[in-house]
Amino acid sequence: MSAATTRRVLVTGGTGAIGGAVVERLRTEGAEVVFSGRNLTRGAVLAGRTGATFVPGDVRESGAVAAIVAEALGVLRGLDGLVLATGILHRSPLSETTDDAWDALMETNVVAPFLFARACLDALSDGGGAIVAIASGAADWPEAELGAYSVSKRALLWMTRMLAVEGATRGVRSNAVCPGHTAAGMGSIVDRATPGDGMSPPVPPSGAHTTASEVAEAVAYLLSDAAGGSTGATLSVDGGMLAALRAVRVRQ
Amino acid sequence: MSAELRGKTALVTGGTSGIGRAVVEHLAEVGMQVAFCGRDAERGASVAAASGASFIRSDATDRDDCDRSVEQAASLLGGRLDLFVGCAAMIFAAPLGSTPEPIFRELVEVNLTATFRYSRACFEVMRRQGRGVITHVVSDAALRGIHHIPAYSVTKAGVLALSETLAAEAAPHGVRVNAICPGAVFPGMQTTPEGYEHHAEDASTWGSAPSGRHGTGRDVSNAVLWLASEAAAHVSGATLRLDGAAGVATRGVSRA
Repeated sequence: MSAATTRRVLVTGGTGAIGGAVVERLRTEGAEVVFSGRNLTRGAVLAGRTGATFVPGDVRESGAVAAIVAEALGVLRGLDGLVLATGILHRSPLSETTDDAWDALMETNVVAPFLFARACLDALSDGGGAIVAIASGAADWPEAELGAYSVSKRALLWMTRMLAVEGATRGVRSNAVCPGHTAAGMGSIVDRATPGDGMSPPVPPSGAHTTASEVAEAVAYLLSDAAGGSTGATLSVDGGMLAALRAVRVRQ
Repeated sequence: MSAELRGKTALVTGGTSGIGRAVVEHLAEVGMQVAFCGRDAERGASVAAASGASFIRSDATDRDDCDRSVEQAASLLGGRLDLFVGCAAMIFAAPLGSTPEPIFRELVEVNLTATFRYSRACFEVMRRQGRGVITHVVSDAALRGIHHIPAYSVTKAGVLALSETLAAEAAPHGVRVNAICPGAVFPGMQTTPEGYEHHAEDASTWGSAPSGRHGTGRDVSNAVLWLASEAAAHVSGATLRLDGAAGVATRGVSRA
C-alpha cells in the first residue's frame, strides 16, 4: 500500500489489540490516522508512540459516534479509509446470555459500526474511499460458547457486504477481515473474562493462533489501491481455521 | 407426517399476517394446539376465529410484552411446548446511508433481539422437556444480501447465525433448531415502519422466481411441518432455501 492511496484513516476501537496494530501499521507508511477507543491509557501511549491522534470515546454513549467522526473529519480534513475495529466479546452460550450482555454486543458490534459507516459515507465518497471491518471467523462458523458474539459478527459481516453494494456507485469499497483466534486479541479477553475449561481456544491447521499484526497487514492491503478490485469480500486471516474441521483445542 | 403432530403444541410469532398467518392456519389444520402472537388485535381475532388457534396480543418491540406472551402461551398450552416458529419481523427499504438510527435499532430489536429472546425462553421449556423443535423463518437475504433492503438483510443474517448457533447448543438436549430462508413470498410482510407501508403491499413489481411464480405462505408452512415431524429427526442446524431457485445462480435475461 502506498501512503498516497490511503492518506487519511479513522480507526475505531484503536485501543484494542487489533485496532492498535492497525494504527501502528498504517503509521509506518505515513498515513494520517485518527483512532478512537475507551482505554485512555492505551490511547495516550499509542498516540505518543505513533503520532496518530487519539479521540477518546465510548460508542455506547449517545452521540459518541457522531462526535468521534466530527473530530476525525476535522483533524484529517476528509477521509480515505474507515477501519471498524470496535468490538466486544462475551463468552456465553445463547441460552445463558442475559439481556444486558446481548444488548452490549448488538450495540457495540452492530449498531456502532452502522453509525460509523453511515456518518463517514459522504466523506469517503469524495475521493474513492475504503471501509474495512474486523469481523471474525465466528461470523462464518459460529461458536456455541460465543453465542451472541457469533450472531453479532455475522450481522457485521453482512453489513460490510451491503455497504459494498451501496458504496459501489459512490466509489467506496467495503470489505471484511475475519481473524481466527488472535493472540493478545479477543482470545485473551475471553480467558480473562470467565474461568476457562483449561483448554486453549481452537488452534488452526497452521498450528498457531493469528497475530494482531497479521490482521493489520490484511487491513492495510484491503485499504490500498492494490485491492481496488475487491469489494464485498471476506478475507480470512485464521491459519486455515475455516477451511475444514481441523481446528483442535489443546489442554493448557 | 401430519398425523403425528395432532395434539402437539406450538407457539408462532408474527402470526397475524403473511407467512406467520399461513403457518398458524396450517398447524391448526393438522390438529396442533396453537398459540400465536402479533401486534394487530383485529387481524389476530380474525385469524383466531378462522383457525381455532389462540391469539396473544404482543408487540415484538416491547420486551415486557414478549415475556408476558411466552408465559401466557405456556398456560394456554398446558405448560408443554413442542414447536416454536419465529416469524415476527419488520422490513425497511432504504440504503444504509439514509436509514435513520431509530429504524435501524427497531430492526435489530424486532428481527434479531425479539427472536433471540423468544428462542431463549422456548428453549428453556424444551430443555426441561428433553425435546422440542425451533424453526426460524429467516429470509434469502440472510444467504445473499438484497441490495434495496440492506438493514433488513443485516438483521436476517444475524438471525440465521442465531439459528445455527442455538442448534449446536440445543442438540445435546434433544432440541432441534432449523432455519427456513424463503425468497419473495406473497402476501408478504406488512410490518414496516410508519410511513413505509407501501414497500410490502404490492407484488406487481416483483420478478417471479425461475419456478415461474412467487412463494406462498403454504410453501413455508409445509416446510415448517416437515421440520417438526419425525421425518426430520436428524435435521438440525440446517438452512432450507425455499425460493424456487431464485438465489442459487446468476441468470441470463432474454430481452425481446
